[in-house]
Amino acid sequence: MSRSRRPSSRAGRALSVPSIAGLVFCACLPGCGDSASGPAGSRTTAAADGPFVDAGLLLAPLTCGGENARTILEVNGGGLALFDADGDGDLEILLVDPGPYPSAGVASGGTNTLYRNDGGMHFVDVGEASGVGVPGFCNGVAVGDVDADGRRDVYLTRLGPNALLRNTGDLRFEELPEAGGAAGDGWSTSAVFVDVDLDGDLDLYVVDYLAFDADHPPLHGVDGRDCRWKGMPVMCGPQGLPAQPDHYYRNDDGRLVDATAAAGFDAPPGYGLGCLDGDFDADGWPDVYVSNDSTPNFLFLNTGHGKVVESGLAAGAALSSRGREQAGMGIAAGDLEGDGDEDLLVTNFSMESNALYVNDGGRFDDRADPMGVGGPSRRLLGWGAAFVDFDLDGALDLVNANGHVYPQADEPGTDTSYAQPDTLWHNDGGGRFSPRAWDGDAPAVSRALSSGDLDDDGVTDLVILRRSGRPMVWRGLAPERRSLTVALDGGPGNPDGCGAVVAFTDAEGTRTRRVRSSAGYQAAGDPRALFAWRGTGTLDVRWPDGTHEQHAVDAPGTLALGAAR
Amino acid sequence: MTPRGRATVFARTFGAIVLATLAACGDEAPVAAPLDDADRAVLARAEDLLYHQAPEQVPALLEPLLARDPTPVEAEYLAGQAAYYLQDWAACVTRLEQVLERDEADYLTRCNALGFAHAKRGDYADARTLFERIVAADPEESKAWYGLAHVALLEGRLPDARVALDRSLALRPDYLKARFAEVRLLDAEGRSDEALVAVTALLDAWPSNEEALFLQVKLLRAEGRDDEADQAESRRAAVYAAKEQIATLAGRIRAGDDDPAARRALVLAYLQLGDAGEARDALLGALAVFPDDPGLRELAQGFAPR
Repeated sequence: MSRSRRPSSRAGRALSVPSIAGLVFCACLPGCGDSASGPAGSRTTAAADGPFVDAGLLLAPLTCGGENARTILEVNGGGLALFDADGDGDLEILLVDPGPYPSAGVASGGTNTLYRNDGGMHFVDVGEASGVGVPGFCNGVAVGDVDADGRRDVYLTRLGPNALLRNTGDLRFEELPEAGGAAGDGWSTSAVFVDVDLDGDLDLYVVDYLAFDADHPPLHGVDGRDCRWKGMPVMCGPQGLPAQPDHYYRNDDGRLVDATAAAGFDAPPGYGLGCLDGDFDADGWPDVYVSNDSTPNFLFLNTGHGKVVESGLAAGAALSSRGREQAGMGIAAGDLEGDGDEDLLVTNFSMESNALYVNDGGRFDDRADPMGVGGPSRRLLGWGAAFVDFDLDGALDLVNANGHVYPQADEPGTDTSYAQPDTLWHNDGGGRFSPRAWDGDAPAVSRALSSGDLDDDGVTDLVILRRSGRPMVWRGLAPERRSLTVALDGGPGNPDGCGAVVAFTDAEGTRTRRVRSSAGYQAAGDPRALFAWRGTGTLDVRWPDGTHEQHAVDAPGTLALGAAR
Repeated sequence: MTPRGRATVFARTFGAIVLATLAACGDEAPVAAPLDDADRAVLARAEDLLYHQAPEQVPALLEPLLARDPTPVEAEYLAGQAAYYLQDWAACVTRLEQVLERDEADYLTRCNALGFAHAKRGDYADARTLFERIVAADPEESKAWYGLAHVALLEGRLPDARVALDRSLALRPDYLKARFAEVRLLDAEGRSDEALVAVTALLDAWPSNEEALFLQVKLLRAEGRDDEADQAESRRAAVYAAKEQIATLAGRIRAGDDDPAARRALVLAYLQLGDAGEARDALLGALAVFPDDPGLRELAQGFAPR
């Protein structure tokens, strides 16, 4: 298959917040009005009443099969990563574009795009030379330094063998043969780099969805299939299609070796969609949580030295509060109660509801309803999710993307819709969430979501992908420089210090953040820990190897730690 | 007159006032044409389908009645109930609201149904408002007290849930849904020991409640009684599988893919759930279609005559 191509003229094209000067300049340049990449044709920016405003970035539109998804392959959308690709301290944006429906004998794949961050919410398409434009129907992305050269590499999940792109520096990537040992051959959705065995390098967990033959797709009315939802014929799956097993790859000096069974990750196959690392039983060993569609979610608890036990049911994190499996999609993790352990939010299908698994010493209890994220989510179908303190009041709020899988959801009698508002949930500080009006209320068919401080102003921004179409970039409007950002460097093999736990104690209490790059559903996000500034305090960092360090902090801003480790 | 009787009169009066108010506003409630025997047969069949968990057949069956202007209230109500079971809460709410606007009969029952539809839809505030109206009209309406407790539990208002649930159970101690809510409330209140005792007792009366089994598993694990939790988990999984199998088999039979083996499997699945009544009904239905099937006849020998 040939590599996907893009016009070379796109390289170096700047994307920025629209301005009068920019529009005047643009009007004078032939071809500048290209709606795919230029500032002309920018959306009208809505009134900035917060907490987020359309940043006005015209990122490349994504495609996921046909206009109306006929098959389950075309449902999940693409992926995105917010990561420091060039090591200059700010976040680049990588968009993963599935592309058109793969046809037999025809090179397939969308146009993956890497945007360089030039500061001030100004991004430049690096162009084809970046090397991220590998072929294939790509879905998700994970970021980690596989070869311990200090640069963040990129793993792309696809239908068929996955791809590992080695970061060679200067915003250039090269595809490694057989994905460095982690190619697989199924349909992978999400993945996460996590040092499961705590040997100092990042291992890889890859989530697979189901067996799908693009040349013979399961369709309603074909091969006797009667795929219906609420009495209407709809695309088939996941029920009726074989679930596929996930894979775990141990990092052996830069080579990824399948150790799924040896490590205990060989659970019965589920319809996997999302994954996230964490230390959910607070024993210092990294665990992995997996959201499964229509099958119980997995919680792989690490028993030490790279061995895990699937404990989802036993720990209470596999099913809803009513004991039912749900259509797990997105995952967010954060310490909502200030007790030092992370709670889990899982988005689900319409007429289910979000699950909010509150963690009490490694035992989980779904309290979505009493905490307010149950009822209002029932008519929505959720995808990517993130806990972010969008108003910088010290309490983690929540945002999640929504959009149905069936275009038929717009028919009468479904009590839901295809396009849906993305939901912003405000945390009142007492653990009670309520939906908050915002500019992202306009209905859309959203999928992956990632959060990060794109313009380094101390406020979290958002990127939300649509199943098909142009991604939305939302700029956070909380007061600037009223936060403490902690950027860790764990040294070669772990340049973001992933797996470290950062706790900041001020006069009002202790808040804890885990440093991770996974954003749960087909995405990677800002690994830096961000705390709303409430006053001076003490920062405690527990590194993945168990060592601690403490720092007195007397002013907001960015604190970089660990570069010399 | 008993307190309940007084409350019923009050509720009917309340409903009549609503209707009168609507009429005074110029929105005179339309009156449907009287139902004939054929109409009543359709309604009876629709009720039968709802009872036998075939709600998807109800809308088509009722279509001729629903097409009338005005729609017979009875048909509207059954269509609302079918929408409830089909998880089309919006349609359910719309239809039940229309019913309540037009007809005072069974006002409290229908209000309760609407309240639970709101709760299912995630509109807890609307549900709470309705249940509060009901208990204001009839303080002895145990179902509405349970509804209030259910919503309060969902919203995390535990003291309110306690008050409402105590009222519900005082009025109707054998109300199984309320007893299950009691288990959930005890658990939410952190009274785990009492919750475990209550859920064990509940499961004696309602062994097919997989939600209660799920809660029992959680409570047993919290006490470190993992062996018992594993056993309860096995029971939960079996109940869950049986319910899934029943849904699959019933759907298959309704779709016309019917044979004695499917019918036998359906009966056995009900027995697996411990639901002898449904098993008997399923067996009688099977024998009506396949009277000579030896497998079904053998199964029938295990049932005492009615």
